[in-house]
Amino acid sequence: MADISMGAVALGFALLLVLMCLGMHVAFVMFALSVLGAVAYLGLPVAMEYGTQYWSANNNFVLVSVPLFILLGELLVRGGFTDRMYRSLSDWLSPLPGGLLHSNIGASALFAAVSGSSVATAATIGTVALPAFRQRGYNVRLVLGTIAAGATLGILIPPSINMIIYGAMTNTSVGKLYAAGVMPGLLLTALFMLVVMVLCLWKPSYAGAKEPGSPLRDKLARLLDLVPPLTVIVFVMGSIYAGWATPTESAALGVVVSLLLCAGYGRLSIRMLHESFLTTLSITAMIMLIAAAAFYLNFVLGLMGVPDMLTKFVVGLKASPGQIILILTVLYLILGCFLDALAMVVGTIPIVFPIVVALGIDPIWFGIFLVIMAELALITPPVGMNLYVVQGVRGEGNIIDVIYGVLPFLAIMLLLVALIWLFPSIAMWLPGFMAK
Amino acid sequence: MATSNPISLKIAPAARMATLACGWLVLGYALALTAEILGRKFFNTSFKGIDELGGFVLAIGAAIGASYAMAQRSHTRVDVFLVRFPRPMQRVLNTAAMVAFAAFASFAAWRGVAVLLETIELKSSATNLEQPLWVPQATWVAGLCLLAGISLAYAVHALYLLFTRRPELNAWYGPVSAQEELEAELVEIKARGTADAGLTLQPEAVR
Repeated sequence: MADISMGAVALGFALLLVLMCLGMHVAFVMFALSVLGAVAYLGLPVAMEYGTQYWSANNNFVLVSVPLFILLGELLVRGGFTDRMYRSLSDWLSPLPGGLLHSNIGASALFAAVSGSSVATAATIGTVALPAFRQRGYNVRLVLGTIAAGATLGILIPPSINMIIYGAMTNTSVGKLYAAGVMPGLLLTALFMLVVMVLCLWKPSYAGAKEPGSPLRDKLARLLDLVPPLTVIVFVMGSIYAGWATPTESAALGVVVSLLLCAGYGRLSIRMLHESFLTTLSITAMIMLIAAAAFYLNFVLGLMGVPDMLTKFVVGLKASPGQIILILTVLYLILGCFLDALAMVVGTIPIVFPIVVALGIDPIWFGIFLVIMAELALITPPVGMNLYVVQGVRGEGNIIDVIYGVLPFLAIMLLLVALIWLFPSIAMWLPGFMAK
Repeated sequence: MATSNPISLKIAPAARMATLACGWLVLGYALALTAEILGRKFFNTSFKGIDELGGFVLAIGAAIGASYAMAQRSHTRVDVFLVRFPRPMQRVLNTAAMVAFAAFASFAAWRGVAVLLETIELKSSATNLEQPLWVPQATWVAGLCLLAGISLAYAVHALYLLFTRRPELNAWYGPVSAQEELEAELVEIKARGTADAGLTLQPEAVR
């Protein structure tokens, strides 16, 4: 077996980026690189192992939660629960300085607690929220920014598809990752709201005119609209933290609860179920194809000794973990400008994870760091999916407005990275309770 | 996503049916797993091997869903640079992507068949279910073969369009643009009837 050099690894990574940027399918690119590496360094038989690797990546109980959580979110959105939730939240958040802007963030955070996806959050909240802002004199950029940035909470507040994939690829407990995501998620929500308040106190013209709220009686009546999403959160998160269910089992429980809610509110129909199924399986298949290729890349690089080699190299640099995290932050920011968030995460785990662990960084902490970097990737131009979704829902003006709008929130997310580095217990405090 | 690609139109109904069947499978599994949690908690009974069953459901759903996702052009590609290239170059790159994907899917199907043959030869069975492993594996392999077949057809079609200089190539085999993806999402949101949430959706707000 030929020893692999640092230069060859860099060349391979460059080839990965170039092929992706040429528009090849992300799954194909990871597969092609793995086969190339296997044939060049390990021999043909390893390349032939693809079938076995593919089967074990597909037939994985942890990943079973992926379709279940997508289905759960689909059922709640198609049941119309999220639209009502926005209305009810805006009743209570509008009196804050910044008014309706807080509803965008609050509704995103609540939707994030039942959904593991950000694009769906941006489209749903955007469609419900934008008409509410018409002719109310809010600063357009700030309105767009709160929707696009708020929607990224979808993958930080559990459940989170990115955490499930990270957990499955690195053998890290998904339950603990979920627990670790709660506090940073709530903190980020609070920071987002704080920014809105500060901006609106500094420049009151950013917020629309104060308007009288609905009568208290109506507000109280609409509180009932928060019950369905809260019920799902209680069942899903409660069953995990009470130790009744694994994350996969809790996802199944969530699907059943959502199904009962849809039925109870008279929203269930075969047509609605079928539409949910098609979206669920299409997204699942897309994720699983990339995940299977990434697992194989992980396997091949491991056999090639790449993680060992890289770890020795990085340790030889005598850099502190803080410096490495700083470098990774910059690297992920740049990658995130061009790559799809999931592709960025799974494509780099095989190389980065072993280094990080060798430096003594906690895998759970690093999972949260990676998810925040993936959130940033969703709103950094030119390839921030959320920017396009929000601009598209808006259907007028220029995407530049959305990009300016997310800038304060981008800065806040980087602040969050610094905060969890300086105070790791923000992430690690809750999972500590689970480690009995 | 609406498309006029003749191959997609031909295979879409079958891929849709197979995917719907998998959807029912996933829902059925969610019910079974919930029953298992309740049974374990309250009746002290447990169905060993239910997690193994979940793995099979995922493998089958992911393999069969992949064909449907292919027909919808949902498999992830990075399009930021691609759409800025000159159109003739886009034609070549889109064709190359389809050919490369077909090679990838065919290799996967071939190696999948090898796994299945080995399972049958060794008479392997699922660890806890004590059922022959070849049954779920054969369904999974069928999904892989379906994907290989479809992507081969797409690759040949893309090559044909490239060499006959037909203009539809980029529209049929380019990545789905953010705009198209969004329009699909909006159609769904409208179909759901946001109006009943007390917030009338103004058509001009969503174009």
